[in-house]
Amino acid sequence: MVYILSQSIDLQSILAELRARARDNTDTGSTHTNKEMAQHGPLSDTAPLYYNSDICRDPFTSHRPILGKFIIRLKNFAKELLVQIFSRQIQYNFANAKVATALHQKLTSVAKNQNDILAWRTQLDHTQTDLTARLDQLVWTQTSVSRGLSATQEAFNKSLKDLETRTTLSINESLKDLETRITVSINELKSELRSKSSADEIQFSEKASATAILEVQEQQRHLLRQIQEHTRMAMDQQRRLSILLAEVRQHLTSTANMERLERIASERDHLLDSLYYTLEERFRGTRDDIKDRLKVYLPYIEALSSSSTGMGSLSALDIGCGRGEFLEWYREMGISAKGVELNRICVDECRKMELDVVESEARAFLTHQRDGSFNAVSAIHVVEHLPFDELIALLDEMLRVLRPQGLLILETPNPNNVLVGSGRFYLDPSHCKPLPPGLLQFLVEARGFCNVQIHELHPFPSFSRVQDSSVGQRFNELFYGPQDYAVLGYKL
Amino acid sequence: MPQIINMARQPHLVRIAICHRAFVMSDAIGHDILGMYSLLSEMGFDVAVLGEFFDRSAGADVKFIPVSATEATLFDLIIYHHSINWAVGEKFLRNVRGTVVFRYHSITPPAFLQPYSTAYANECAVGIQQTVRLLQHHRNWAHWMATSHFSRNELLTCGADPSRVSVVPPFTLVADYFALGNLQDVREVKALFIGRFVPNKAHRDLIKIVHSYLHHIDDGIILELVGTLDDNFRAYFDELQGLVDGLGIRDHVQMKIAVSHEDLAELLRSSTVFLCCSVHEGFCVPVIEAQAAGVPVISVNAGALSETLGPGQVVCDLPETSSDYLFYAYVIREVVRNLELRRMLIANAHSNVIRRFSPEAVENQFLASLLPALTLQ
Repeated sequence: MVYILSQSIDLQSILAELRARARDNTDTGSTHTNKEMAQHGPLSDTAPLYYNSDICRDPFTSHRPILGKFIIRLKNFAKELLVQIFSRQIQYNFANAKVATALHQKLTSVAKNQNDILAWRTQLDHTQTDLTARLDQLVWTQTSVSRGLSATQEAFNKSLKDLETRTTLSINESLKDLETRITVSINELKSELRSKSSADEIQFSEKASATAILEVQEQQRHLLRQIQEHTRMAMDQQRRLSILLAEVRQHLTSTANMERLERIASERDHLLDSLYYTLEERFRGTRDDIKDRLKVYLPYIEALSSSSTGMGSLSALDIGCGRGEFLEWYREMGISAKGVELNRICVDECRKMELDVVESEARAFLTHQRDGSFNAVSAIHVVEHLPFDELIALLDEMLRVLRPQGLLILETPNPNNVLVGSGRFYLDPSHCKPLPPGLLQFLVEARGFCNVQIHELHPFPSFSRVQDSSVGQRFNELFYGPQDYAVLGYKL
Repeated sequence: MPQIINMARQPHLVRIAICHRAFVMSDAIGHDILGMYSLLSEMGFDVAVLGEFFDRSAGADVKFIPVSATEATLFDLIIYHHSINWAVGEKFLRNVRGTVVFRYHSITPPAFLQPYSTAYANECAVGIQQTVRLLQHHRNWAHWMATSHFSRNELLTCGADPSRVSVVPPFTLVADYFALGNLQDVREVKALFIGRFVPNKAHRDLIKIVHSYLHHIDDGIILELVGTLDDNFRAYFDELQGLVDGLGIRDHVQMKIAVSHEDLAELLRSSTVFLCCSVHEGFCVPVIEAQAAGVPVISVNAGALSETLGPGQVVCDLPETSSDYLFYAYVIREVVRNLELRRMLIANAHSNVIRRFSPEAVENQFLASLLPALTLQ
């Protein structure tokens, strides 16, 4: 039955026509459908099992004209009564169909696998035959090559033996000939030597004497040169001193003006005290850093007490004492020490720590000290601030105020370190010029100190160094070697 | 005897509880409950959902109270959704003091389910018995809302007073699916059915119809079966899979479980026809969703299907013979290729949904049925 629910389009006609067509195409009922599925379905063998599993699907029919309806009703009633059994049967049929389908699929798969295996087997047989033929060919080739190699080796051995024999004979002959000639030459030489030996001995001793004489003469000339140089230098100094004194007398008109000039000059010099103090803090290091670095000199100072009665009798001077780190060390060692410093901030700081510090220029202070006033004089990072002539004058004054066997300590940046010499040295704008270690040592010796030593200090940390190789070592020496050095000297 | 609510004299907001064993957003009952909740809340009532299980995906706006809580019995009006045996709910109803309105969702006859799940079939049988008890116990004062005339008749069969049973369609999400439909010439047919994988939905018939189409017409058809699957019916689902393989039409049948709301909308948009062979439906929400989406529906005449589909739709007898399956196959082809027929079906479908099942129409029918229960007699 079809329910026609709209008259806009004649649904009834359309659906009735479709119903008739469907009936025509399936007038043989389920069998026809099965036949169609058998022709077209991919799993046509098992499709009927599914399709017919529902045994309650098709309605009951009867061909009897009068009793037919009653019979159909009776059948339907019986179907209702037996629905429980029919439902179980339907389930069984369906499960059966499922199992059959699974088995069918499995069998198909197994058959396919079997065919594949047979095909692979055939292919393997062909491959095996082919490989056997190739193996035989290889064996034959190997035999031929072996024979050839043996023949070649025999010929080579024979040739080698012939060559060895010929070479040995030739060498033996040459050796014999050489031996004969050497023997003849030796004999001739012996006879010649016998005749000449006495004359050569005399010549040799004469030559040795002449050489010694020349050496002595050379040394003599060197000493004369040095004496001349010293004389010249002394005369030069005298001349300069005279000129200076004349200048001073010429320009000074009254004591008051001189005092005023000195005061003005003095004040001008202190305008940048705080800047320099900050700069020192920034680039040199903290107080603890500096004090730690000065430890290296303590053994030398302690060694001075062996020539005196004890530490308490020693006296020391630290020129350019800064924040007083070295003075603190002297105090801890029980040595009477004085400091000289131009920066008023540093002076104040030292005085707060009850250190004996004088605000003065170094040479000006030294000229007021008596000869032999101190056992040790130190100037840490001072000399690089001085022009050359002032440096010489300072060294002279230091020598004068030291007691015999007194110790001089000078520490300055090391320009042999490329980073220091080309960059770091100029972090302090008051630096004058870098002093190479050799030059400072020479100057200290030249001004009269003895036993002058150079101590390299404060290399860069090892982690900053490059890989150790021949080039790397040189690089490390030039760039990451000692940043400072000290020159230690003694007064005779 | 429960109190009659006099709204004019109530000193506080009328408290309404919507009661059901489980509140989940994946089924039609959940949508019906949510529609009632939203409408009554907007009207200013103090509404809550009572139950044992609550789907958090409904959002934090829905107030849920366990049915075992003390406050659950203090509501003025209980809208009790009855769809299956719920002993806890029946016990709860004995303790309430407010007015009770029953919302009846048709219970599947156990005979359909017995071959696959005795337990589930028993639940349905006991649920039907519970329907009879609820009707008897609340006979004199309770009102019943059925989703269709078909389910109303079921209630009458159980002994309901005809004057106390009205027909109110369920709240649905049809508004989300509205589309004009595809009136272009279609080469490949995409047939869709949305429904739980349970025996009464007759998925076998759908598969046989497609099989018949493939063997008598052409290869251009895909059948999509979409729905939720309960573990009790895993055997049924496996049987369907076996039938598809046995008929050799695996490439033409797709089965999808637990599809999201968005995916459903997309499926409807892309489908050519909606096929339904259910042998028992109390309302069948998916057919009106298909109608709203402009997808022509081809349905059997069973349960409430013809009533829900309305006039001007293709509703035919249940297929039994191979001739019937072939007939359905021819109908599918005709609906797809005859553009005039297709246009008419879609237009009638839209009219049906807008006139009877639009949100406004359902709200009006719901309130018309509910308000007498709130007024003085």
